[in-house]
Amino acid sequence: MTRPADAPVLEVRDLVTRFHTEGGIVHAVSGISYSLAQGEALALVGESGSGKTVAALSVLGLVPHPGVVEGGEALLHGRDLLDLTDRAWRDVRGRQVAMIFQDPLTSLNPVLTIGRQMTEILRHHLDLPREAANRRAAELLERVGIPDAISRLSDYPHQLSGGQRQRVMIAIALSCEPDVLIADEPTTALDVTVQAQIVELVKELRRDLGMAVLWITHDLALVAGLVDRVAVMYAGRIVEIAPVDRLFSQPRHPYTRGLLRSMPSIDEAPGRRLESIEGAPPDLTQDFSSCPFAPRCPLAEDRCDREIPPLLSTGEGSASACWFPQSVRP
Amino acid sequence: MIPLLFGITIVLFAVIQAAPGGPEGSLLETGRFIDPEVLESYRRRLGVDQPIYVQYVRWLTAALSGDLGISFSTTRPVAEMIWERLPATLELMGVAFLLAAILAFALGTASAVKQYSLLDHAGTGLSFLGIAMPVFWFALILQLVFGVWLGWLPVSGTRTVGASSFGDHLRHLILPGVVLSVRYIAGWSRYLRSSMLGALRADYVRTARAKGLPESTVVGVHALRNALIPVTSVMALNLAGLFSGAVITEMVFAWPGIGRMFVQAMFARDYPLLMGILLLGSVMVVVFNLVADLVYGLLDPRIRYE
Amino acid sequence: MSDSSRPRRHSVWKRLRRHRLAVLSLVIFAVLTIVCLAAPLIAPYEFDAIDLDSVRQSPSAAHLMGTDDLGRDLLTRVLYGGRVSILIGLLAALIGTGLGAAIGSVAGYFGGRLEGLLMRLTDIAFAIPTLPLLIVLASYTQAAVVSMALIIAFLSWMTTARVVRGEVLSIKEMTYVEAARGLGAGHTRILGRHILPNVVGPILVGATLAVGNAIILESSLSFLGLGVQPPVPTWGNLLMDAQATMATKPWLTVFPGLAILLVVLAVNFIGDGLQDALDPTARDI
Repeated sequence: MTRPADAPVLEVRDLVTRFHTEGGIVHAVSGISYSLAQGEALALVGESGSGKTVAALSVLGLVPHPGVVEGGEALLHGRDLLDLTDRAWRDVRGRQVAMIFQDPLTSLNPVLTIGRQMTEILRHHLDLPREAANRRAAELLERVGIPDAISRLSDYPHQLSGGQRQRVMIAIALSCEPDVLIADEPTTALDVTVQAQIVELVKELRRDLGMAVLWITHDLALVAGLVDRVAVMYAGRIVEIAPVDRLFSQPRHPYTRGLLRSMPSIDEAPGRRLESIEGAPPDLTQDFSSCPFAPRCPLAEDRCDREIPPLLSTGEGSASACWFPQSVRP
Repeated sequence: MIPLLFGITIVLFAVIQAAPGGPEGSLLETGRFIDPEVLESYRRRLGVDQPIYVQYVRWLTAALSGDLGISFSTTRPVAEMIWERLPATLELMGVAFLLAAILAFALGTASAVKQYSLLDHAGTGLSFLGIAMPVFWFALILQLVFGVWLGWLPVSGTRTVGASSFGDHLRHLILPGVVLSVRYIAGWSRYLRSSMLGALRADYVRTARAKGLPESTVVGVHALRNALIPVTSVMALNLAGLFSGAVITEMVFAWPGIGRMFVQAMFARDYPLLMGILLLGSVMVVVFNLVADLVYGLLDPRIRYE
Repeated sequence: MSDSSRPRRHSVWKRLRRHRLAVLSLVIFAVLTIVCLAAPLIAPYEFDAIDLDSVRQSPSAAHLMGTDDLGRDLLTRVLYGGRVSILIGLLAALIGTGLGAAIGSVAGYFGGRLEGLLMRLTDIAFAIPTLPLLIVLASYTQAAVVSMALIIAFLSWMTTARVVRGEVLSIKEMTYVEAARGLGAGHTRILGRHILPNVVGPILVGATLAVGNAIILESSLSFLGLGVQPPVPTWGNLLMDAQATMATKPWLTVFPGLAILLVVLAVNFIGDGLQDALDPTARDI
């Protein structure tokens, strides 16, 4: 199959994931669509509970019980991952799509050595013999900036610092030179200075290896210099998607504007009060028939309570799920 | 560990001295025949006219040099008698331990992986039965079913008279081994199940899955290695119970180990022998706990490096 | 205190009720206990009534569980046996758990050398194999209900002691205990009013499980011929008598054993349900 050079690496269409809990159905992801071009970086931004992590786990088939991916497609190079058998899916995970997680301490196995946790993926996917796998693991550790890599291989996770652990996680994710790297809040559990180092590392690796990056975060400020585009999620939907500069300068959704206003900024006049978004986060056990943001929206009108606004283009590669995108003032 | 053993000897010595009328006094009351020479040597060794703590020190000194005294009932050295019977008991305990460990690991892991499945519910039900069932009654029922009704397995002793094959010996081991292990299969499998359920929800298991590793590696290596850590300490603590269970099991199956000898010694009021076996049992428990600590360290690197 | 603890107790009861098996077990245990205690009133025969015309009968309408070598009705003897076994079980659990709770709370509350001493004692008691020690102690006494219960209790306080000490240690540091101390409350008052009510949960669970354990220990001792002596039947000595003739009269082995199994199973289910009800977070999801 030949594909045009600019065909997306990963294309997600109308993804729906629900959790069937004792307390009712939780609509974690309600029909989101986005695409990732080769080498592109997209940020999925939202509050906790907005469905951004579940959206990412759905693509890898790792949604925990009782969650079920109930609709949509996730096309990797045109092949729908959601149709894969367990076996075929295992060949994709770690090899074509890799993921790093929020807390590197709990995400690494405490009772296995770093070397073991690195080489097992090399040996499984690339069939490297033990020796070669060890060498490759050491190279990878060097690559992500861990000094004295060979002796680190026999260490256990608790012997490393938080930042080093996340570097190890990144090295594991890079093992098979994946097409897509999904990073689920990889800096949230780290110190601020270490956060910046990890962001720099991922930027650099993305540039060198040409992999696409899906960066999930609640922190809009973090993604400014890191990604090409930003998708803002609210109540399991993408409410706005735009090139990063345009999103910052011209938000076209009141929720995005709210997020921007609650963000501290260096170049703004001191003394400005940070605003927070009024109201409570949405209750995802309800199946919305109106704009989910309407109860908290300063611009809401009658129509917002009657119909869900679709994600419509606002020009220049942007789209907003608001009935009144032009009323949003930056 | 040494203070613990020291404390144990004091308690055991006190227990034996607490026999109504003292060990040799209560024996004489029963009017049972006992070799006067043995009795005399017992008295001389302890110096029954001496204060009790002197008797204790004398006994302890002798015990430390491996001299556990002379049996009232056989006039042979207690240490020698125990040494003869110990292999049979260790064999039974070892078989039961292995059986329990293997079955509990398999059942516990499978129950956790397939939580709320038929297998899981059956496992829970059976383990409640296994824990609530008196060991001796389970032994009787197995004897009835497999020995008397079906005639498949021998119900007593270690080998058939006249036969000496290893296979024959193994067949004799099956019923006592199963009886002794059932309580631990039940307990450990439930414990491993809940510890495994925790491990399966852990972030590192999600990482292992995200790496595309086969489920066998995800469950059998990443989850199990972690789930085993708390289970090992429970297993070691339970070894004390395994020794108690061996006493009953050996009685019902006429297994010639120290457990059976212990009950016989009790009926013969053979206090030096009782004391010797109690001491051995306690030392075994202390040693098991030490082994458990070592295994714990092996399994959990976070402990090892502290 | 009572105002704040009432709703809590209420919700524990509510959660326990959701545990259908535990509630069913509670009913079964209560009925069996009452039936056994009332054995002299409701048993179909006298427990030692020898009837040579109907020896060794398998279960029938007249003798639901059959009869033994002397024609004694097994059902009657199982009921009488339950009287002894359940009584010893309850008594031993009560005394053993009380002892453990006392040792554990004193050790945890006062700390220091006393704690060290009591906990070393606990370690020692844990290290000596229970059943052999029990056998020796039982051989010293004229086996009667109270002495059996005492001996078993003496060997089953350690787990409770350890658990209670741990709980007391953590509660001791809480602010309301500090506050009570600041207000000049004495040790007895602090322990009795502020600490112990908060460790009632684990103690209750421990006591419930101890009942089953004590019943099994008692029957094991009786089975070895060291428990309450015939002609007073206990479940253990019924089984001891049955052992020799098991092949020809299996009902004599089956029924007393089933009685033990049923009671211990019921008690363990109650304990399990209590544990879940008191600590819903510890449940497997």
